[in-house]
Amino acid sequence: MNDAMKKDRPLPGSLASGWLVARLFFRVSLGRRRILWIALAMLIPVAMAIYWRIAEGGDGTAFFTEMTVNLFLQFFALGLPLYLGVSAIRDEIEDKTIVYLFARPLHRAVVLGGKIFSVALVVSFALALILSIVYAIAVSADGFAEVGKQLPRLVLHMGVLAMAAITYTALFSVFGVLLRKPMILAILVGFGWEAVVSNLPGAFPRLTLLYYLKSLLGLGPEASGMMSLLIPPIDPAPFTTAFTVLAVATVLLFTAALTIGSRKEYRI
Amino acid sequence: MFQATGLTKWFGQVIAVNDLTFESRAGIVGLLGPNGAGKSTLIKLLCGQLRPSKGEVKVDGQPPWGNRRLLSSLGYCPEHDRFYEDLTPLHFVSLLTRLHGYPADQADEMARKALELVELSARLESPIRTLSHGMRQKLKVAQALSHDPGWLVLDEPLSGMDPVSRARMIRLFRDKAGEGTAVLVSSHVLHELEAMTEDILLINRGRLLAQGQVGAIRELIDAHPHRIALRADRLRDLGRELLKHDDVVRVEVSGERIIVETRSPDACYTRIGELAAGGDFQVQSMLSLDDNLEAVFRYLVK
Repeated sequence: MNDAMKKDRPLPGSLASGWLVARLFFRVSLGRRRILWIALAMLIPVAMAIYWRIAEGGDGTAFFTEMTVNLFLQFFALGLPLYLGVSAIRDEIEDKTIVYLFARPLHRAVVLGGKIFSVALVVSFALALILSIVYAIAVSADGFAEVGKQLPRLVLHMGVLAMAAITYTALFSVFGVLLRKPMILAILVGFGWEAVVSNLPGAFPRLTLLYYLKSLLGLGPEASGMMSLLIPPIDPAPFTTAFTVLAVATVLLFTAALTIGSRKEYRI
Repeated sequence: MFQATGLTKWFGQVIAVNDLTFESRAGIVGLLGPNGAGKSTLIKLLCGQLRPSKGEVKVDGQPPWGNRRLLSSLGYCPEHDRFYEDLTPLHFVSLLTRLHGYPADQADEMARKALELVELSARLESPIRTLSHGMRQKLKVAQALSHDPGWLVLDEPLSGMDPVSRARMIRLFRDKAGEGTAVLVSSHVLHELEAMTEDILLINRGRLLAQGQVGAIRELIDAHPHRIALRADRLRDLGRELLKHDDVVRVEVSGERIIVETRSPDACYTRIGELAAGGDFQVQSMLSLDDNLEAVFRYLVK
Protein backbone atom coordinates (compact mmCIF):
# COMPACT_ATOMS: atom_id res chain seq x y z
CA MET A 1 0.00 0.00 0.00
CA ASN A 2 1.40 3.40 -0.86
CA ASP A 3 0.87 6.83 0.61
CA ALA A 4 -2.04 7.51 -1.67
CA MET A 5 -3.88 4.52 -0.23
CA LYS A 6 -2.91 5.25 3.34
CA LYS A 7 -4.37 8.72 3.04
CA ASP A 8 -7.99 8.62 4.12
CA ARG A 9 -9.43 10.38 1.14
CA PRO A 10 -12.96 11.61 1.78
CA LEU A 11 -15.36 9.62 -0.33
CA PRO A 12 -17.43 11.63 -2.80
CA GLY A 13 -20.95 12.58 -1.74
CA SER A 14 -23.79 10.62 -3.30
CA LEU A 15 -25.88 13.61 -4.33
CA ALA A 16 -23.01 15.45 -6.00
CA SER A 17 -21.88 12.27 -7.77
CA GLY A 18 -25.44 11.44 -8.84
CA TRP A 19 -25.76 14.92 -10.32
CA LEU A 20 -22.47 14.45 -12.21
CA VAL A 21 -23.76 11.18 -13.63
CA ALA A 22 -26.99 12.93 -14.61
CA ARG A 23 -25.01 15.67 -16.36
CA LEU A 24 -23.03 13.03 -18.19
CA PHE A 25 -26.34 11.60 -19.38
CA PHE A 26 -27.53 14.99 -20.62
CA ARG A 27 -24.24 15.47 -22.46
CA VAL A 28 -23.59 12.00 -23.79
CA SER A 29 -26.44 9.52 -23.58
CA LEU A 30 -29.07 11.95 -24.72
CA GLY A 31 -27.00 12.74 -27.80
CA ARG A 32 -27.87 14.91 -30.76
CA ARG A 33 -29.68 12.17 -32.67
CA ARG A 34 -31.89 11.31 -29.71
CA ILE A 35 -32.73 14.95 -29.08
CA LEU A 36 -33.64 15.33 -32.74
CA TRP A 37 -35.95 12.29 -32.65
CA ILE A 38 -37.60 13.45 -29.45
CA ALA A 39 -38.00 16.98 -30.82
CA LEU A 40 -39.54 15.67 -34.03
CA ALA A 41 -41.92 13.41 -32.13
CA MET A 42 -42.89 16.21 -29.79
CA LEU A 43 -43.80 18.42 -32.72
CA ILE A 44 -46.68 16.08 -33.53
CA PRO A 45 -49.03 17.41 -30.80
CA VAL A 46 -48.11 20.99 -31.70
CA ALA A 47 -48.90 20.30 -35.35
CA MET A 48 -52.17 18.63 -34.35
CA ALA A 49 -53.15 21.58 -32.19
CA ILE A 50 -52.42 24.03 -35.00
CA TYR A 51 -54.39 21.90 -37.46
CA TRP A 52 -57.32 21.65 -35.04
CA ARG A 53 -57.28 25.38 -34.51
CA ILE A 54 -57.23 26.17 -38.24
CA ALA A 55 -59.41 23.40 -39.64
CA GLU A 56 -61.84 22.51 -36.88
CA GLY A 57 -61.88 24.76 -33.84
CA GLY A 58 -64.40 24.40 -31.02
CA ASP A 59 -64.04 23.93 -27.28
CA GLY A 60 -60.35 24.55 -26.68
CA THR A 61 -60.34 23.37 -23.07
CA ALA A 62 -62.01 20.10 -24.01
CA PHE A 63 -59.54 19.60 -26.87
CA PHE A 64 -56.65 20.30 -24.50
CA THR A 65 -57.90 17.67 -22.02
CA GLU A 66 -58.40 15.19 -24.84
CA MET A 67 -54.84 15.78 -26.04
CA THR A 68 -53.45 15.38 -22.54
CA VAL A 69 -55.11 12.02 -22.04
CA ASN A 70 -55.01 10.45 -25.49
CA LEU A 71 -51.70 11.68 -26.77
CA PHE A 72 -49.55 12.91 -23.92
CA LEU A 73 -50.52 10.45 -21.23
CA GLN A 74 -51.17 7.33 -23.30
CA PHE A 75 -48.40 7.85 -25.82
CA PHE A 76 -45.63 10.31 -24.96
CA ALA A 77 -45.58 9.85 -21.18
CA LEU A 78 -45.29 6.12 -21.90
CA GLY A 79 -43.09 6.20 -24.98
CA LEU A 80 -40.41 8.64 -23.88
CA PRO A 81 -39.56 6.91 -20.58
CA LEU A 82 -39.66 3.63 -22.47
CA TYR A 83 -37.24 4.89 -25.11
CA LEU A 84 -34.91 6.71 -22.73
CA GLY A 85 -35.39 4.74 -19.51
CA VAL A 86 -34.54 1.39 -21.04
CA SER A 87 -31.66 2.68 -23.13
CA ALA A 88 -30.07 5.06 -20.62
CA ILE A 89 -28.73 2.16 -18.64
CA ARG A 90 -28.72 -0.65 -21.19
CA ASP A 91 -26.78 1.35 -23.80
CA GLU A 92 -23.95 2.06 -21.37
CA ILE A 93 -23.80 -1.58 -20.37
CA GLU A 94 -23.76 -2.69 -24.00
CA ASP A 95 -21.17 -0.02 -24.88
CA LYS A 96 -19.16 -1.02 -21.81
CA THR A 97 -18.66 2.65 -20.96
CA ILE A 98 -20.38 2.11 -17.62
CA VAL A 99 -17.17 0.49 -16.40
CA TYR A 100 -15.63 3.97 -16.15
CA LEU A 101 -18.35 4.85 -13.63
CA PHE A 102 -18.46 1.52 -11.80
CA ALA A 103 -14.70 1.68 -11.19
CA ARG A 104 -15.15 4.91 -9.18
CA PRO A 105 -15.84 5.10 -5.46
CA LEU A 106 -19.59 5.40 -5.95
CA HIS A 107 -22.41 3.14 -4.91
CA ARG A 108 -23.71 1.56 -8.09
CA ALA A 109 -27.11 2.79 -6.96
CA VAL A 110 -25.83 6.36 -7.31
CA VAL A 111 -24.78 5.73 -10.90
CA LEU A 112 -28.10 4.11 -11.77
CA GLY A 113 -30.11 6.62 -9.73
CA GLY A 114 -28.39 9.51 -11.48
CA LYS A 115 -29.35 8.09 -14.84
CA ILE A 116 -32.96 7.32 -13.89
CA PHE A 117 -33.34 10.77 -12.38
CA SER A 118 -31.97 12.44 -15.49
CA VAL A 119 -34.38 10.52 -17.76
CA ALA A 120 -37.35 11.49 -15.57
CA LEU A 121 -36.19 15.10 -15.61
CA VAL A 122 -35.74 15.23 -19.38
CA VAL A 123 -39.09 13.58 -20.06
CA SER A 124 -40.93 15.80 -17.56
CA PHE A 125 -39.34 18.91 -19.03
CA ALA A 126 -40.11 17.92 -22.63
CA LEU A 127 -43.72 17.04 -21.81
CA ALA A 128 -44.26 20.24 -19.80
CA LEU A 129 -42.82 22.39 -22.58
CA ILE A 130 -44.92 20.90 -25.37
CA LEU A 131 -48.02 20.69 -23.20
CA SER A 132 -47.72 24.44 -22.52
CA ILE A 133 -47.50 25.17 -26.22
CA VAL A 134 -50.51 22.98 -26.99
CA TYR A 135 -52.37 24.63 -24.10
CA ALA A 136 -51.69 28.08 -25.47
CA ILE A 137 -52.79 27.11 -28.97
CA ALA A 138 -55.89 25.18 -27.92
CA VAL A 139 -57.28 27.17 -25.01
CA SER A 140 -56.76 30.50 -26.73
CA ALA A 141 -59.52 29.35 -29.08
CA ASP A 142 -61.91 29.99 -26.16
CA GLY A 143 -60.60 33.53 -25.82
CA PHE A 144 -57.38 34.84 -24.36
CA ALA A 145 -59.01 35.43 -20.96
CA GLU A 146 -59.60 31.68 -20.79
CA VAL A 147 -55.84 31.05 -21.13
CA GLY A 148 -55.31 32.69 -17.74
CA LYS A 149 -58.41 31.19 -16.17
CA GLN A 150 -57.54 27.65 -17.10
CA LEU A 151 -53.96 27.84 -15.78
CA PRO A 152 -54.73 25.60 -12.76
CA ARG A 153 -55.84 22.94 -15.25
CA LEU A 154 -52.53 23.27 -17.08
CA VAL A 155 -50.62 22.93 -13.81
CA LEU A 156 -52.65 19.85 -12.85
CA HIS A 157 -52.03 18.25 -16.26
CA MET A 158 -48.33 19.07 -16.02
CA GLY A 159 -48.19 17.49 -12.58
CA VAL A 160 -49.92 14.36 -13.80
CA LEU A 161 -47.55 14.07 -16.76
CA ALA A 162 -44.53 14.59 -14.47
CA MET A 163 -45.91 11.84 -12.23
CA ALA A 164 -46.33 9.62 -15.30
CA ALA A 165 -42.79 10.40 -16.45
CA ILE A 166 -41.30 9.50 -13.08
CA THR A 167 -43.39 6.36 -12.55
CA TYR A 168 -42.84 4.98 -16.06
CA THR A 169 -39.13 5.83 -16.00
CA ALA A 170 -38.84 3.83 -12.78
CA LEU A 171 -40.80 0.96 -14.37
CA PHE A 172 -38.76 0.80 -17.56
CA SER A 173 -35.49 1.21 -15.71
CA VAL A 174 -36.25 -2.08 -13.98
CA PHE A 175 -36.33 -3.70 -17.43
CA GLY A 176 -33.13 -1.89 -18.38
CA VAL A 177 -31.13 -3.17 -15.43
CA LEU A 178 -32.66 -6.64 -15.39
CA LEU A 179 -32.81 -7.82 -18.98
CA ARG A 180 -30.24 -8.04 -21.77
CA LYS A 181 -32.85 -7.33 -24.47
CA PRO A 182 -35.45 -5.32 -22.61
CA MET A 183 -37.08 -3.33 -25.41
CA ILE A 184 -39.66 -5.85 -26.65
CA LEU A 185 -40.96 -6.66 -23.20
CA ALA A 186 -41.00 -2.97 -22.33
CA ILE A 187 -43.08 -2.21 -25.44
CA LEU A 188 -45.47 -5.07 -24.61
CA VAL A 189 -45.93 -3.78 -21.08
CA GLY A 190 -46.09 -0.13 -22.12
CA PHE A 191 -48.30 -0.19 -25.16
CA GLY A 192 -49.86 -3.60 -24.58
CA TRP A 193 -50.65 -3.99 -20.93
CA GLU A 194 -50.88 -0.35 -19.91
CA ALA A 195 -52.71 1.01 -22.93
CA VAL A 196 -55.08 -1.92 -23.47
CA VAL A 197 -55.83 -3.21 -19.97
CA SER A 198 -56.41 0.29 -18.61
CA ASN A 199 -59.41 0.57 -20.92
CA LEU A 200 -60.91 -2.85 -20.31
CA PRO A 201 -64.29 -3.03 -18.61
CA GLY A 202 -64.57 -4.19 -15.03
CA ALA A 203 -61.84 -3.96 -12.41
CA PHE A 204 -58.95 -4.86 -14.76
CA PRO A 205 -57.77 -1.24 -15.16
CA ARG A 206 -56.89 -1.21 -11.44
CA LEU A 207 -53.93 -3.39 -12.41
CA THR A 208 -52.43 -0.62 -14.53
CA LEU A 209 -50.63 2.58 -13.64
CA LEU A 210 -52.47 4.44 -16.37
CA TYR A 211 -55.80 3.99 -14.57
CA TYR A 212 -54.45 5.85 -11.55
CA LEU A 213 -52.82 8.52 -13.69
CA LYS A 214 -56.13 9.17 -15.45
CA SER A 215 -57.84 9.15 -12.08
CA LEU A 216 -55.67 12.09 -11.05
CA LEU A 217 -57.42 13.99 -13.84
CA GLY A 218 -60.79 12.69 -12.70
CA LEU A 219 -61.17 10.42 -15.70
CA GLY A 220 -62.06 6.73 -15.77
CA PRO A 221 -61.45 3.97 -18.30
CA GLU A 222 -62.86 4.51 -21.76
CA ALA A 223 -64.27 1.04 -22.17
CA SER A 224 -66.43 0.43 -25.22
CA GLY A 225 -67.98 -2.45 -27.17
CA MET A 226 -70.11 -5.43 -26.11
CA MET A 227 -68.08 -6.24 -23.03
CA SER A 228 -68.59 -2.82 -21.57
CA LEU A 229 -72.36 -3.30 -21.87
CA LEU A 230 -72.12 -6.46 -19.77
CA ILE A 231 -69.44 -5.23 -17.40
CA PRO A 232 -69.57 -1.48 -17.00
CA PRO A 233 -66.28 0.43 -16.70
CA ILE A 234 -65.22 1.34 -13.19
CA ASP A 235 -65.17 4.85 -11.83
CA PRO A 236 -61.91 6.73 -11.46
CA ALA A 237 -60.10 6.20 -8.17
CA PRO A 238 -60.27 9.05 -5.65
CA PHE A 239 -57.42 11.54 -6.10
CA THR A 240 -55.69 10.63 -2.81
CA THR A 241 -55.91 6.91 -3.51
CA ALA A 242 -54.57 7.36 -7.04
CA PHE A 243 -51.72 9.55 -5.85
CA THR A 244 -50.80 7.15 -3.03
CA VAL A 245 -50.84 4.12 -5.32
CA LEU A 246 -48.62 5.89 -7.86
CA ALA A 247 -46.23 7.19 -5.22
CA VAL A 248 -45.87 3.75 -3.63
CA ALA A 249 -45.46 2.09 -7.05
CA THR A 250 -42.80 4.63 -8.03
CA VAL A 251 -40.84 4.15 -4.83
CA LEU A 252 -41.05 0.35 -5.15
CA LEU A 253 -40.03 0.35 -8.81
CA PHE A 254 -37.24 2.83 -8.24
CA THR A 255 -35.95 0.79 -5.30
CA ALA A 256 -36.19 -2.40 -7.36
CA ALA A 257 -34.20 -0.85 -10.22
CA LEU A 258 -31.47 0.38 -7.88
CA THR A 259 -31.31 -2.82 -5.85
CA ILE A 260 -31.23 -5.13 -8.86
CA GLY A 261 -28.79 -2.89 -10.71
CA SER A 262 -26.45 -2.64 -7.73
CA ARG A 263 -26.31 -6.36 -7.12
CA LYS A 264 -26.31 -7.59 -10.67
CA GLU A 265 -23.02 -8.36 -12.37
CA TYR A 266 -22.59 -7.06 -15.86
CA ARG A 267 -20.07 -8.60 -18.24
CA ILE A 268 -18.46 -5.29 -19.06
CA MET B 1 -1.15 -6.59 -2.32
CA PHE B 2 -3.20 -8.72 -4.75
CA GLN B 3 -4.38 -11.99 -3.31
CA ALA B 4 -6.56 -14.82 -4.62
CA THR B 5 -7.52 -18.04 -2.89
CA GLY B 6 -9.26 -20.74 -4.88
CA LEU B 7 -10.61 -17.95 -7.05
CA THR B 8 -13.09 -19.26 -9.60
CA LYS B 9 -15.40 -17.42 -11.94
CA TRP B 10 -17.80 -19.01 -14.35
CA PHE B 11 -20.32 -17.59 -16.78
CA GLY B 12 -22.99 -20.22 -17.36
CA GLN B 13 -21.13 -23.28 -18.60
CA VAL B 14 -17.87 -21.45 -19.24
CA ILE B 15 -15.18 -21.32 -16.58
CA ALA B 16 -13.21 -18.13 -17.14
CA VAL B 17 -11.01 -18.33 -14.04
CA ASN B 18 -10.39 -21.69 -12.45
CA ASP B 19 -9.22 -22.16 -8.87
CA LEU B 20 -6.53 -19.49 -8.91
CA THR B 21 -4.42 -19.06 -5.81
CA PHE B 22 -1.67 -16.49 -5.69
CA GLU B 23 -0.34 -13.60 -3.72
CA SER B 24 1.60 -10.78 -5.29
CA ARG B 25 4.15 -8.45 -3.80
CA ALA B 26 4.31 -4.69 -4.15
CA GLY B 27 5.73 -3.19 -7.32
CA ILE B 28 4.72 -4.22 -10.82
CA VAL B 29 3.14 -7.61 -11.41
CA GLY B 30 2.84 -8.82 -14.97
CA LEU B 31 -0.17 -10.92 -15.90
CA LEU B 32 0.82 -12.96 -18.91
CA GLY B 33 -1.42 -15.19 -20.97
CA PRO B 34 -2.70 -15.63 -24.50
CA ASN B 35 -5.98 -14.11 -25.65
CA GLY B 36 -8.88 -15.79 -23.89
CA ALA B 37 -6.70 -16.99 -21.01
CA GLY B 38 -8.88 -15.29 -18.38
CA LYS B 39 -6.68 -12.25 -17.80
CA SER B 40 -9.46 -9.71 -18.22
CA THR B 41 -11.84 -11.70 -16.02
CA LEU B 42 -9.19 -11.91 -13.31
CA ILE B 43 -8.61 -8.18 -13.62
CA LYS B 44 -12.33 -7.44 -13.35
CA LEU B 45 -12.49 -9.60 -10.25
CA LEU B 46 -9.57 -7.68 -8.76
CA CYS B 47 -11.18 -4.35 -9.63
CA GLY B 48 -14.53 -5.26 -8.10
CA GLN B 49 -16.33 -5.32 -11.43
CA LEU B 50 -17.23 -8.99 -11.00
CA ARG B 51 -17.86 -11.18 -7.95
CA PRO B 52 -16.12 -14.53 -7.54
CA SER B 53 -18.30 -17.58 -8.17
CA LYS B 54 -16.13 -19.43 -5.67
CA GLY B 55 -13.08 -18.64 -3.57
CA GLU B 56 -12.02 -15.14 -2.73
CA VAL B 57 -10.09 -12.24 -4.08
CA LYS B 58 -8.57 -9.48 -1.99
CA VAL B 59 -6.71 -6.28 -2.61
CA ASP B 60 -4.75 -4.98 0.33
CA GLY B 61 -6.59 -7.51 2.48
CA GLN B 62 -10.09 -6.40 1.45
CA PRO B 63 -12.58 -7.82 -1.03
CA PRO B 64 -13.00 -5.28 -3.84
CA TRP B 65 -16.66 -5.83 -4.84
CA GLY B 66 -18.67 -2.77 -3.74
CA ASN B 67 -15.74 -1.55 -1.63
CA ARG B 68 -15.85 2.21 -2.11
CA ARG B 69 -12.85 2.82 0.08
CA LEU B 70 -10.75 0.51 -2.07
CA LEU B 71 -12.19 1.84 -5.33
CA SER B 72 -11.29 5.39 -4.31
CA SER B 73 -7.62 4.53 -4.80
CA LEU B 74 -8.04 2.28 -7.84
CA GLY B 75 -6.84 3.32 -11.26
CA TYR B 76 -8.32 0.94 -13.81
CA CYS B 77 -7.53 0.89 -17.50
CA PRO B 78 -9.99 -1.49 -19.18
CA GLU B 79 -9.10 -3.54 -22.21
CA HIS B 80 -11.96 -2.47 -24.46
CA ASP B 81 -11.76 0.54 -26.72
CA ARG B 82 -15.01 2.21 -25.63
CA PHE B 83 -15.52 5.85 -24.73
CA TYR B 84 -18.06 8.62 -24.55
CA GLU B 85 -17.08 9.56 -28.08
CA ASP B 86 -18.45 13.10 -28.13
CA LEU B 87 -16.54 14.25 -25.06
CA THR B 88 -13.08 15.73 -25.27
CA PRO B 89 -10.18 14.00 -23.45
CA LEU B 90 -10.06 16.85 -20.94
CA HIS B 91 -13.77 16.71 -20.18
CA PHE B 92 -13.71 12.90 -19.97
CA VAL B 93 -10.77 12.64 -17.58
CA SER B 94 -11.84 15.66 -15.55
CA LEU B 95 -15.36 14.31 -15.06
CA LEU B 96 -14.09 10.91 -13.97
CA THR B 97 -11.66 12.59 -11.56
CA ARG B 98 -14.51 14.60 -10.07
CA LEU B 99 -16.25 11.33 -9.29
CA HIS B 100 -13.43 10.73 -6.81
CA GLY B 101 -14.68 13.74 -4.88
CA TYR B 102 -12.37 16.41 -6.23
CA PRO B 103 -13.80 19.88 -6.92
CA ALA B 104 -14.13 20.93 -10.57
CA ASP B 105 -11.06 23.19 -10.71
CA GLN B 106 -8.77 20.68 -9.04
CA ALA B 107 -10.12 17.83 -11.16
CA ASP B 108 -9.48 19.88 -14.27
CA GLU B 109 -5.91 20.51 -13.20
CA MET B 110 -5.34 16.84 -12.36
CA ALA B 111 -6.82 15.79 -15.70
CA ARG B 112 -4.48 18.14 -17.57
CA LYS B 113 -1.50 16.70 -15.71
CA ALA B 114 -2.51 13.13 -16.45
CA LEU B 115 -3.06 13.92 -20.12
CA GLU B 116 0.32 15.61 -20.22
CA LEU B 117 1.92 12.52 -18.68
CA VAL B 118 0.60 10.39 -21.52
CA GLU B 119 1.43 13.07 -24.09
CA LEU B 120 -2.08 13.98 -25.08
CA SER B 121 -1.82 17.67 -24.22
CA ALA B 122 -2.10 18.65 -27.86
CA ARG B 123 -5.51 16.97 -28.15
CA LEU B 124 -7.19 18.16 -24.96
CA GLU B 125 -10.16 19.66 -26.76
CA SER B 126 -10.56 17.28 -29.69
CA PRO B 127 -13.57 14.97 -29.55
CA ILE B 128 -12.50 11.50 -28.50
CA ARG B 129 -13.94 10.03 -31.69
CA THR B 130 -11.22 11.83 -33.67
CA LEU B 131 -8.32 10.22 -31.76
CA SER B 132 -6.18 7.44 -33.21
CA HIS B 133 -6.13 3.99 -31.61
CA GLY B 134 -2.84 4.70 -29.88
CA MET B 135 -4.15 7.99 -28.49
CA ARG B 136 -7.26 6.28 -27.21
CA GLN B 137 -5.07 3.80 -25.37
CA LYS B 138 -3.20 6.69 -23.81
CA LEU B 139 -6.49 8.30 -22.82
CA LYS B 140 -7.53 5.14 -20.99
CA VAL B 141 -4.25 5.23 -19.11
CA ALA B 142 -4.73 8.93 -18.33
CA GLN B 143 -8.16 8.39 -16.77
CA ALA B 144 -6.65 5.64 -14.66
CA LEU B 145 -3.83 7.89 -13.44
CA SER B 146 -5.52 11.26 -12.99
CA HIS B 147 -6.61 10.84 -9.35
CA ASP B 148 -3.19 9.60 -8.21
CA PRO B 149 -4.28 6.01 -7.48
CA GLY B 150 -2.71 3.78 -4.91
CA TRP B 151 -3.13 0.72 -7.09
CA LEU B 152 -3.19 0.62 -10.81
CA VAL B 153 -4.67 -2.19 -12.88
CA LEU B 154 -3.94 -2.01 -16.59
CA ASP B 155 -5.49 -4.45 -19.01
CA GLU B 156 -3.38 -4.66 -22.18
CA PRO B 157 -2.45 -0.97 -21.96
CA LEU B 158 0.21 -1.07 -24.67
CA SER B 159 -1.93 -2.65 -27.35
CA GLY B 160 -2.01 -0.51 -30.48
CA MET B 161 0.71 1.91 -29.38
CA ASP B 162 3.73 2.74 -31.51
CA PRO B 163 7.16 1.61 -30.25
CA VAL B 164 8.15 5.05 -28.94
CA SER B 165 4.91 5.47 -27.01
CA ARG B 166 5.27 1.94 -25.67
CA ALA B 167 8.70 2.71 -24.32
CA ARG B 168 7.48 5.93 -22.70
CA MET B 169 4.47 4.22 -21.22
CA ILE B 170 6.60 1.43 -19.80
CA ARG B 171 8.83 4.06 -18.19
CA LEU B 172 5.74 5.77 -16.78
CA PHE B 173 4.48 2.55 -15.19
CA ARG B 174 7.89 1.87 -13.72
CA ASP B 175 8.01 5.40 -12.32
CA LYS B 176 4.58 4.94 -10.75
CA ALA B 177 5.69 1.67 -9.17
CA GLY B 178 8.83 3.45 -7.96
CA GLU B 179 6.62 6.02 -6.24
CA GLY B 180 4.90 3.19 -4.34
CA THR B 181 1.88 2.50 -6.55
CA ALA B 182 1.02 -1.18 -6.80
CA VAL B 183 0.72 -1.98 -10.50
CA LEU B 184 -0.81 -5.01 -12.16
CA VAL B 185 -0.45 -5.03 -15.91
CA SER B 186 -1.65 -7.66 -18.34
CA SER B 187 -0.30 -8.57 -21.73
CA HIS B 188 -0.02 -11.50 -24.07
CA VAL B 189 3.41 -10.34 -25.15
CA LEU B 190 6.22 -11.53 -22.89
CA HIS B 191 8.84 -9.01 -23.93
CA GLU B 192 6.48 -6.13 -23.08
CA LEU B 193 6.15 -7.39 -19.54
CA GLU B 194 9.85 -8.22 -19.34
CA ALA B 195 10.57 -4.56 -19.91
CA MET B 196 8.45 -3.64 -16.91
CA THR B 197 8.86 -6.29 -14.29
CA GLU B 198 10.50 -9.48 -13.12
CA ASP B 199 7.32 -10.71 -11.42
CA ILE B 200 5.01 -12.63 -13.67
CA LEU B 201 1.75 -14.50 -13.23
CA LEU B 202 1.34 -16.87 -16.14
CA ILE B 203 -2.22 -17.96 -16.81
CA ASN B 204 -3.95 -19.94 -19.50
CA ARG B 205 -7.51 -21.23 -19.80
CA GLY B 206 -8.28 -19.66 -16.46
CA ARG B 207 -5.58 -21.57 -14.62
CA LEU B 208 -2.38 -20.33 -13.07
CA LEU B 209 0.46 -22.08 -14.87
CA ALA B 210 3.36 -20.42 -13.16
CA GLN B 211 4.18 -17.57 -10.88
CA GLY B 212 7.61 -16.13 -10.47
CA GLN B 213 10.45 -14.38 -12.12
CA VAL B 214 10.55 -13.74 -15.83
CA GLY B 215 13.78 -15.74 -16.02
CA ALA B 216 11.95 -18.88 -14.90
CA ILE B 217 9.26 -18.33 -17.50
CA ARG B 218 11.95 -17.85 -20.12
CA GLU B 219 13.47 -21.19 -19.11
CA LEU B 220 10.12 -22.86 -19.55
CA ILE B 221 9.87 -21.32 -22.98
CA ASP B 222 13.39 -22.42 -23.88
CA ALA B 223 12.58 -25.93 -22.71
CA HIS B 224 9.64 -26.00 -25.06
CA PRO B 225 10.53 -27.93 -28.21
CA HIS B 226 10.41 -25.46 -31.03
CA ARG B 227 8.87 -26.67 -34.29
CA ILE B 228 10.37 -25.89 -37.68
CA ALA B 229 8.70 -26.85 -40.95
CA LEU B 230 11.09 -27.54 -43.86
CA ARG B 231 10.55 -28.09 -47.55
CA ALA B 232 13.53 -29.78 -49.16
CA ASP B 233 14.60 -32.64 -51.39
CA ARG B 234 15.45 -36.05 -49.84
CA LEU B 235 13.25 -35.32 -46.82
CA ARG B 236 13.93 -38.65 -45.09
CA ASP B 237 17.71 -38.27 -45.41
CA LEU B 238 17.49 -34.74 -44.07
CA GLY B 239 15.39 -35.93 -41.15
CA ARG B 240 17.90 -38.71 -40.37
CA GLU B 241 20.74 -36.19 -40.50
CA LEU B 242 19.02 -33.80 -38.10
CA LEU B 243 18.10 -36.56 -35.65
CA LYS B 244 21.80 -37.23 -35.06
CA HIS B 245 21.88 -34.13 -32.84
CA ASP B 246 20.78 -34.22 -29.21
CA ASP B 247 18.64 -31.07 -29.33
CA VAL B 248 16.37 -32.55 -32.00
CA VAL B 249 13.55 -34.28 -30.17
CA ARG B 250 11.47 -35.51 -33.06
CA VAL B 251 11.20 -35.41 -36.85
CA GLU B 252 7.97 -36.02 -38.69
CA VAL B 253 7.54 -36.29 -42.45
CA SER B 254 4.27 -34.71 -43.42
CA GLY B 255 3.52 -34.66 -47.16
CA GLU B 256 6.12 -32.59 -48.92
CA ARG B 257 7.68 -31.21 -45.76
CA ILE B 258 9.20 -32.35 -42.52
CA ILE B 259 8.51 -30.90 -39.11
CA VAL B 260 11.50 -30.80 -36.81
CA GLU B 261 11.08 -30.38 -33.06
CA THR B 262 14.17 -28.97 -31.41
CA ARG B 263 15.08 -27.76 -27.93
CA SER B 264 17.67 -25.43 -29.37
CA PRO B 265 16.12 -23.52 -32.25
CA ASP B 266 19.11 -21.24 -32.83
CA ALA B 267 21.55 -24.18 -33.19
CA CYS B 268 19.09 -26.04 -35.39
CA TYR B 269 18.58 -23.09 -37.73
CA THR B 270 22.37 -22.72 -38.04
CA ARG B 271 22.79 -26.43 -38.78
CA ILE B 272 20.07 -26.43 -41.44
CA GLY B 273 21.71 -23.39 -43.01
CA GLU B 274 25.07 -25.16 -43.08
CA LEU B 275 23.56 -28.30 -44.63
CA ALA B 276 21.94 -26.21 -47.34
CA ALA B 277 25.06 -24.10 -47.94
CA GLY B 278 27.23 -27.25 -48.15
CA GLY B 279 25.08 -28.53 -50.99
CA ASP B 280 24.05 -31.68 -49.13
CA PHE B 281 20.37 -30.80 -49.36
CA GLN B 282 18.31 -28.32 -51.30
CA VAL B 283 16.15 -26.52 -48.71
CA GLN B 284 13.33 -24.67 -50.42
CA SER B 285 11.67 -23.13 -47.38
CA MET B 286 12.03 -23.00 -43.64
CA LEU B 287 9.26 -21.81 -41.36
CA SER B 288 8.95 -21.49 -37.60
CA LEU B 289 5.63 -22.88 -36.45
CA ASP B 290 5.97 -21.72 -32.83
CA ASP B 291 6.78 -18.07 -32.94
CA ASN B 292 4.13 -17.10 -30.46
CA LEU B 293 3.22 -17.56 -26.85
CA GLU B 294 0.21 -19.65 -27.72
CA ALA B 295 2.45 -22.58 -28.56
CA VAL B 296 4.33 -22.21 -25.29
CA PHE B 297 1.09 -22.20 -23.36
CA ARG B 298 -0.13 -25.29 -25.19
CA TYR B 299 3.13 -26.97 -24.30
CA LEU B 300 2.94 -25.92 -20.63
CA VAL B 301 -0.64 -27.15 -20.35
CA LYS B 302 0.39 -30.54 -21.75
